[in-house]
Amino acid sequence: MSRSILPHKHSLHKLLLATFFVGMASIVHADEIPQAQVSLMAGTCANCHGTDGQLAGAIPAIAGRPATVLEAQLLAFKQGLQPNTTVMDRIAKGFTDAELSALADYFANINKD
Amino acid sequence: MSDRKPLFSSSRRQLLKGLGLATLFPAISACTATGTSQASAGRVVVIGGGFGGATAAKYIKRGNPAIDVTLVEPNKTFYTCPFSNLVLAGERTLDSIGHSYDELSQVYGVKVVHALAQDIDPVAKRVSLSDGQTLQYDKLLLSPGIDMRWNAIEGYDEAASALAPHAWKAGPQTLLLRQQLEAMADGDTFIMSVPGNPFRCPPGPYERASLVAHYLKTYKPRSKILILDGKDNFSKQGLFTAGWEAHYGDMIEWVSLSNDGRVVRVDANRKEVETEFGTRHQAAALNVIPPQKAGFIADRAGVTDASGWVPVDPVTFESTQQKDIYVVGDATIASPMPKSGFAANAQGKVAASAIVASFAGISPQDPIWANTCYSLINPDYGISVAAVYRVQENQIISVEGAGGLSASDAPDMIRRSEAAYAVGWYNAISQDTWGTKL
Amino acid sequence: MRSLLLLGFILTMTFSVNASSDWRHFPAVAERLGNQSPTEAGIDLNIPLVIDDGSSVNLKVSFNGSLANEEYLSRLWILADKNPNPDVIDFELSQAIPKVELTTRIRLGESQTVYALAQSNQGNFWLTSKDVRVTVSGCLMGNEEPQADIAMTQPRVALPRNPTPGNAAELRTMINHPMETGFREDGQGGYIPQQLVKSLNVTQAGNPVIDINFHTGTSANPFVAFFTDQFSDLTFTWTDQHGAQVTETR
Repeated sequence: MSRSILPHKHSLHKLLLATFFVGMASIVHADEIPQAQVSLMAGTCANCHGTDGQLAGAIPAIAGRPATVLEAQLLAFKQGLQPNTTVMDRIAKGFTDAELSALADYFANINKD
Repeated sequence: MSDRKPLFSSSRRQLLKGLGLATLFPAISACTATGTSQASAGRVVVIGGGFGGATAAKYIKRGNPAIDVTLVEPNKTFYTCPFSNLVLAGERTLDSIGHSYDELSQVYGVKVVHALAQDIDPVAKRVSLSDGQTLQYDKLLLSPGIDMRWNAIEGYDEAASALAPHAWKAGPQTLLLRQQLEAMADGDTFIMSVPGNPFRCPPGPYERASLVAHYLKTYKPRSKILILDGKDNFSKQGLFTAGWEAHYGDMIEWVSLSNDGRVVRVDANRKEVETEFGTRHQAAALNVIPPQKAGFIADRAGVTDASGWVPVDPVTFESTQQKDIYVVGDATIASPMPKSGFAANAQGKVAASAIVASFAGISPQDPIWANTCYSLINPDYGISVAAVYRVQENQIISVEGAGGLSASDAPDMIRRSEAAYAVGWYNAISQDTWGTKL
Repeated sequence: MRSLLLLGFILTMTFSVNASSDWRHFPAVAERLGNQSPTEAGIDLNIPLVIDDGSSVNLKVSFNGSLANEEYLSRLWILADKNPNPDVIDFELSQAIPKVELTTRIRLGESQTVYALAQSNQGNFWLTSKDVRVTVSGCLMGNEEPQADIAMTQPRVALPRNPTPGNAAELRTMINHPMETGFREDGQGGYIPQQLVKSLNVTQAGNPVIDINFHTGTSANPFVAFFTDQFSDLTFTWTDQHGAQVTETR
């Protein structure tokens, strides 16, 4: 756990996260954005994709899909490369690539009900 | 950012189902929501069970189930303004836009009290209810919605709304206006009076005109719709105007503020309105959407300003006037975020996260929100406006280069998709807010 | 509880009224004042503090300051410190105005301070201001269409219902005109030429009641409401910047 990986403002925050993440050697990226912020950011997705992105209907579920797929799709939306897009292009443009990547990771790690 | 290994081991995945802050409390999160025997981590009272309040109650519990959450809402069923225009058009039943509080109480362990919050003492931190109960809180979250400014238009008070409904809170008012539309004869005129900014759901009146036109076109094709507006331009104006022309010919007439559209007097008995420069219009069915303000309980809490709305800290949605009182939804001054159910739900999550963080002694995260607002020109023709919001220099800003309107030259296939996505959105936000499975 | 509410109210009031301090750095106000110092009590500016649509902002200015014998308010300016041209609208008032309460609709290009500066016939000044934030609400994006018609059309005057001579009541005026500022780009490297309604002059039996001067900060379709206690023999004359006139009588 190095400071550069988890640049948190508050020591308590850092301590709690550090304790939680101990032993999880796989954390190497996508966490320049604090996890708490990623989940707050992900809350806005639930508005159309259901709580935790699990609701499937006219709008597809996003929970549990591979992070690479989600990230590629979000970036394609952002770059206007996804044909017949209605709204996701307009939304993806408001996020940085790192944020989209973090969101892809977040939803990929939610179990599909 | 090339390595795609999972962030969390599978045994930890369940934790991610909570707000991110829940991951800070693995021991607590491991308890089931209702079965926790932990001491209370704090007492939160939520007033108002609409998009903002119900979402906040749920997400506080998701963030930390040990927080004691009580939701105060007089109605056992909440009817949404979104999709109530489809009820007016006869395309949906009122039941289909009603939501219960079962998920909140049964799954998340929120105490739901069906009573009216009558007063708030922000010093003693007490809420008094219509059933005589008093609730003590550490943090109060208000999602008070709107109240009508009765008599802001001469002659339009609560009694008048029984004759000329506003239908700007869904429920009995929606049914009343539906009855008036049903009673119209072919060739009659439906008049809507629309207020100046700010008001609940900026595109709502124009979607209403669209869907009423859809009904009239089918059943009373010689009828007219007259929109008398207190504004010179409105949300998604170009898309609405083009959609009206394409689907309804000249059935809908919009009179702007500068063309003497502002209604200053209502005679509800005669279903007659008078505009700023003395033009009188008579309707067979009259819908007056009056100017609005924050729901009255916000006044009682001392959180409103001279405008009648509630100024809030944009990072936490805590009142700038009263400590430990958070306010979300239509009652707040959150512009450029609109007064919409979508925004209220999003703000509810931000306030929930801030409350959970505050109890834990942690600083709140800077929020980022997206908003998508769908309107239906007819049940198969949808349009939208989207935006992404961030906090910059302690103000909410709309991210430049993101968001915007549906393309004005989009093919019908896209309009059909957007209409389907509007339904998808409604189902998703209903599930996210109340747990309703549609 | 009640005292706390009151405290909150006082704090709000104080916050929103005390913003007049920066006028010394604002030439449009400072130059009119010269070395005089204005009174800050007695003049009230009512304008939303958060504005969803800067193209048409309701503004009401009212005056209840103390005046000497034979003293009356003769000039009133509305000024905006971050508009491309600070002049919004100004009024020349006569003694025939029974009550100074003026309502209009203005343009604000961005978040800024809006000032109301008043002067009496005896040279005394009053000043107030409000800091306002201009946003574009997310659901409010319309499609702007340029207006081609630049002639003044549809002059409108609304007298109060059941007017009684001698009883002050509000009268409304409006004329349709795009009020092209001259600041708008034409898409070909130039600017759309300025086209403004310059003034509205109101007389009663030939005597001046109120003269209103419109500027680039006045909204399209200039609207003004003011109080009068005479409701007959009124003449309203609008003049555009080319000298064309439209007249209405009541």
